[in-house]
Amino acid sequence: MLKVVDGGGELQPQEQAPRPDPLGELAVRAANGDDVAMRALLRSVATPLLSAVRAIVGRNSPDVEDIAQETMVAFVHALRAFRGECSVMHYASRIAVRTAMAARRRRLSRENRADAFEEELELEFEQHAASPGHEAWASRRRALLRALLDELPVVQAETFALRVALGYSMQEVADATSAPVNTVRSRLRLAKEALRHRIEQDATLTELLGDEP
Amino acid sequence: MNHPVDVHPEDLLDRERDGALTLEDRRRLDAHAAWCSACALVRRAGTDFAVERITWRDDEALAQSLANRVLGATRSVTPPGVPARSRAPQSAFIARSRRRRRSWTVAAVVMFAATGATASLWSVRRFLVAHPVVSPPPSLAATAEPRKAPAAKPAEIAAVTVGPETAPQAPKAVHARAANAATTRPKAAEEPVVAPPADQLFAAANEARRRGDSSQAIKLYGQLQQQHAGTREETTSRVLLGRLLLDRGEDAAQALTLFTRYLDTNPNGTLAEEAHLGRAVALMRLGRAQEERQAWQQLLSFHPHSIHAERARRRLDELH
Repeated sequence: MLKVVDGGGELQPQEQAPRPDPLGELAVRAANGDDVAMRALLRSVATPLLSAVRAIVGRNSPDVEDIAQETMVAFVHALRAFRGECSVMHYASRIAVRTAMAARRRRLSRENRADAFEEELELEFEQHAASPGHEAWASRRRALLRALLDELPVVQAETFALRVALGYSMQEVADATSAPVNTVRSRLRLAKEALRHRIEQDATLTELLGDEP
Repeated sequence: MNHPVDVHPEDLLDRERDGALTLEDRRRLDAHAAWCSACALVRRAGTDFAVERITWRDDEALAQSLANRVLGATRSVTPPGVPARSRAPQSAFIARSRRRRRSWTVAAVVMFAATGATASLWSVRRFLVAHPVVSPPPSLAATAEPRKAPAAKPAEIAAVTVGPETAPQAPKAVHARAANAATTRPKAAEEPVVAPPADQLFAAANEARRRGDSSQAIKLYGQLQQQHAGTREETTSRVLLGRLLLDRGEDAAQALTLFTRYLDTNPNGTLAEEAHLGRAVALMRLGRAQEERQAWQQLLSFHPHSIHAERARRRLDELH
């Protein structure tokens, strides 16, 4: 048997020439009032935007459709401000994260935070009721991290959401937020400190770190 | 603080995300996660969220429907000359959307009532024809014809984009709908399937590999290579897929092609060392001794301090 590999190293962006943004031209045309381009562009980003919104608010959240729609409207409006400093998809994802986080915070400002957290856990458990083990634990971890996003300062929360909920690399987060990589590191460090504090405060959360049943 | 990680943990998490951790990296990351509860949780949650981001065809239909609604309203939302970030029209649009949804609900209730009423009237008529004596039926409701079940929405019966095996957590109902699609709506099968984004496929494939489901991982890496050729994820997956094929003792020729294609694209790539080793092992399996010898020599030439150097030298001795 081949015993390679856990070998390798980091994937460095500079090892390949940067690819042109496949949506870049469409975005420019759409921003200049080309209706056809706008339609093609919005249809291209629609599914990733829905996916990003779901990652932030939860797949079973009753508000997903409204928030996704709100995100698309925000994207259309924000297109004129797009300067090409990151890919169109990253730009759209950042708008999705901001819109979805704002929607969660609006909702939480109307409701008791503890009740909302419990409700979210129930939604997650309903979704995975048929598959207890791994998915139930995954649901708890997601709910915990979403709750943390609600409490962090917006910039930290946005960085943390792009990194954890959307799975962006450090460089991608830096590109999407127009911030240096070291600033991203710093924001993530602060977010993780808050997370660590939360885990230390609640002993039941430490079980999320252990082996799953 | 003195702790066992001298590479930034975020960089190690990036490498893990890309499936590019070395053994040493993994040891460092494990050691760090052993004392840093936040990194430990985030590390696990990465997979949790990746699984949740997988796109199903239901999602495609819903997203396109939402996009169409927004496009239909865009002209009224952003008339020429109006500042792009005006919030009022957006709120108005969302409110309109909610009102529209309420309207549909009201319409559905009216339709339901109308259907029930029609059915009831029809029953009464049949009852009167069968029973000429004029007397009201004891229970109209009991004799009413059952309503037909409402037709499923296209999104509900569409097939799943990534296949049931791609996301084992998917509700069973979705698979049932996918199975029905071929019989109830043959056109649905002809509709073009939009590929999941490269990063999602890559994450799902890596997740399958980590949990030991190599068949699923091979399938997903293959899908990634077909649908996202040239992306960073696809390039990296050549080495990961090649390794999986060799680990399973399968198709050394395909593995060889994958390693060679990686090196053609990334001769100095960060997985080049593994690709060189993979080529040598694949050629050994294929019994192509002369090329195998060259492959080991290339490994030593490009990576003289490789952890595989000793193995390469031993094998070269055997080949002489």
